[in-house]
Amino acid sequence: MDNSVLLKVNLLKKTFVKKTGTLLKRKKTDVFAVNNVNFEIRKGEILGIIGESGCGKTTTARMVMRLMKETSGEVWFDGVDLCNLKESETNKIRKKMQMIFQDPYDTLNPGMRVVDILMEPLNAHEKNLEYQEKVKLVKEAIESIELKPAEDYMYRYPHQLSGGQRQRIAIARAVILKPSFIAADEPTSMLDVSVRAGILNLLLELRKKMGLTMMFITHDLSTASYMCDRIAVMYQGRIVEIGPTQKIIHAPSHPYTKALVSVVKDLNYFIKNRERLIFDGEVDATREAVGCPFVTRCPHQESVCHSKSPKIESLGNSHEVACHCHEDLLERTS
Amino acid sequence: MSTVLSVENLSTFFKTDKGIAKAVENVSFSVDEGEMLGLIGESGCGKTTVAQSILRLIEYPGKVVAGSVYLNGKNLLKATDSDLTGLRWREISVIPQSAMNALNPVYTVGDQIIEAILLHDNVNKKEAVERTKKLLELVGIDGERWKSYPHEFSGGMKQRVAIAMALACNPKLVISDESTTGLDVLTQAQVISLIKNLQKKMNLSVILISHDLPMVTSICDRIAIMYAGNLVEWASTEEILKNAEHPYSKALLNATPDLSNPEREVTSIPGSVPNLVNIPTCCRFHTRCPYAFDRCRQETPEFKEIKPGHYVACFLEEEQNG
Repeated sequence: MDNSVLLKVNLLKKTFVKKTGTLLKRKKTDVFAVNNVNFEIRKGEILGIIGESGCGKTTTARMVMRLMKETSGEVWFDGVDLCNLKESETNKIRKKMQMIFQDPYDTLNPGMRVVDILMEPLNAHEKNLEYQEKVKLVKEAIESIELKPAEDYMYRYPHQLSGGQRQRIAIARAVILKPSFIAADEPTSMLDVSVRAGILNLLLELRKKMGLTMMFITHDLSTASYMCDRIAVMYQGRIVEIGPTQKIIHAPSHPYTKALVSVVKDLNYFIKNRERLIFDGEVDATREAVGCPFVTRCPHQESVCHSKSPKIESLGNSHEVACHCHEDLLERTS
Repeated sequence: MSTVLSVENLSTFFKTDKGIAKAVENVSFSVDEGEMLGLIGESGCGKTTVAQSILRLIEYPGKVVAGSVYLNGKNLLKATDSDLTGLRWREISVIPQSAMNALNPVYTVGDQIIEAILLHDNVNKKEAVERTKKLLELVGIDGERWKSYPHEFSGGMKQRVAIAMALACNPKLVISDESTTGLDVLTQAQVISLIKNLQKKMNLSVILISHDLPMVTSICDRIAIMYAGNLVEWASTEEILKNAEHPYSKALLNATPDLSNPEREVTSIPGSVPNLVNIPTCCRFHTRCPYAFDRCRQETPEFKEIKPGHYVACFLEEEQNG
C-alpha cells in the first residue's frame, strides 16, 4: 500500500434488517445503509463526506472508528486491517484515531467536570502517567483549544459552558491523546453562525500544528468547501462522486452533486437568475439495491439506470463519478 | 405599496426568578404588501418572541409591555379574543417551526386543515374538503392524500402540508418560523422555492424567520437583523450585503463561508451573547464589538434611518458623521 495513505476503506458495506408485517407473518428486508464504499485519505488531508441525512455518512464514520461492526468490507488504518483485530488490539488503535460528535450537549457527561472528562482518555490509554502529569496534559489540551487560562475552565461542569465552549472541550478530548486521525461528525451543525467559524478555524489550526488527518462529515457544501481538500458526495449509502474540492464545486459531474451545488447557500445574491435545480422526487430508503440509487429523482435518467447500478469511473485528476450518463451530460453542457 | 403590518417599539419581557428578562425591546419594522421580509438572528435573540407577540401568543410569565402592532390599520395588541379569532388564519397565519411536531399524529392531515377552515370560514364540510384538496395540490401533494396521517408523509411533505394549512383561509400575511430548519438541503430548496412561488402568485406578505443568512439573502426583499432582543439593522437585501453598517451585521456576514470565494477566511465573533435578565442600559453588542467606546456602555443607541430605507442602531455612524 502507498505509504502516504493513512486510511483506506475498501468495499465497506452495512445492512440493517427492517422487520415488517404482522406478528406471525414477519417479513425481513435488508436496508443498505452503506453500500460498497471505497475511499482513501492521505496523511495530512481532510476528506469531506457530504450528503443528506440518512445517506450513510455517520454509519461510515462509525464503522471506520470501530464503533460498529461492518457487514462486509475492509478498513485499513496505517497498514493495519482494523476489521480483523482483537478487541485489545483495537483499543490500542483507538489512541491514534478519535472522533468528534455532532451534539456537544449530549456527548459531555453532565455529572463530570471538564477536568474529569479530559482525564478519561488519559486514564484509559496512559495508565503509567502520574496524576500531576495528567493534569498538566489536561491544561495543555484546554489551552490548545483556545480556552485560556485553563484553570478557569477546568473545574466547570458542562452546563456552565456555552455551546461553542462545549464543542471545544469535545475537541480537546479528541486531541488530548495526540491522535493522527480524527473523524468529525457534523461538529458545527448544532452551533450558531457566530461561533461556527471559530470551531472550523480551530480544527484547521490543529491540523497544521499536529499534522492531523481528518474525515469531516457535513451536510453543508459551503462548510465543506472551506475545510476540505477533497470531497466525497454520498447518496443512499453510496459514494456518487469524489474528487478535489475545486472540481466538485466548479465542475460537478453527477446530477445529484450538480443539484447540491446549485442550491448551495452562499452570499452570492448578486448572481441574478441563477438556475437552481429543484427536484420533485423523494428519497426512498427502502427501495431495493438495483439500478442507480438516484433514479427516483434524476432528471436525466435512461433505461439502463433502472436495471444496473453504475460503477464509479475515473474522470482524471483523481475525480471519480458513479453515473451512467455523465458522458452524455458532459457533451450536452459543452 | 401599502403597509400590511407595522410593528412599533414592541417590547416583550419575561418574569424570571432572577429578575426581568428583556427578551424583546424596542423593536420596530414594517412589512409591505407582497413583500418578503427576512428576520434574522442567532438562537435566543428573540425572533420567535417577536412573532409570538405579533400573534398575541405570549403567555405568562411573558408579557408584551409596550409598543403597538398594526395589521391593516387594526391594533392587534388591543384586539379582544373574539377579534383575534376573526383575524387569525384569515388575515395572519403561521407556518410553525417544525412541521413534524406541529401536525397532530392521530388525525389525518385533511381533518386538521378542514377543522381550521370550518372554524374560521362560513362553509359546509363538503366545500371544506374540496378546498383542502385544492390546497394540497397547490403545494404539490396529490389532493386525494387528504385522508393520510402525518406519519405517512416524508419530512418535506409534512412541511408542505403545514404551508397548505397556513394558506387555508387566504391570509394576507404569513409568518414562517424557521420552517425549513431540519430539512435536507435539496428538500429545503424545494420548500423555499414553493414559499416564494406562492408568495408571488397570491401576493402574500411573508415574514421569514431564520438563522440562515445565505438562504434569506437569496429570496427576501428586505432583511431585519436582531441581536439579543434588539433590532440592530433593517434594510433591503442588496443594501445589507453591500453596505452593512452595524458591526454585528458585518461580523455575521464574515462568519458565513462563501462557496464562490472559499479562500476568504471566515471569522467568528468573540465572546458570547449577554444574559438578558436585568440587562443594564447599553448597546447590547458592546461586549463583543471591536469598535465599542464609552458611550456604547452607557446608552442604548436609537434605531434610526441613516439612508432612505436603511435603519441602524449604532453610535458609530453618528460618531463618524459628526
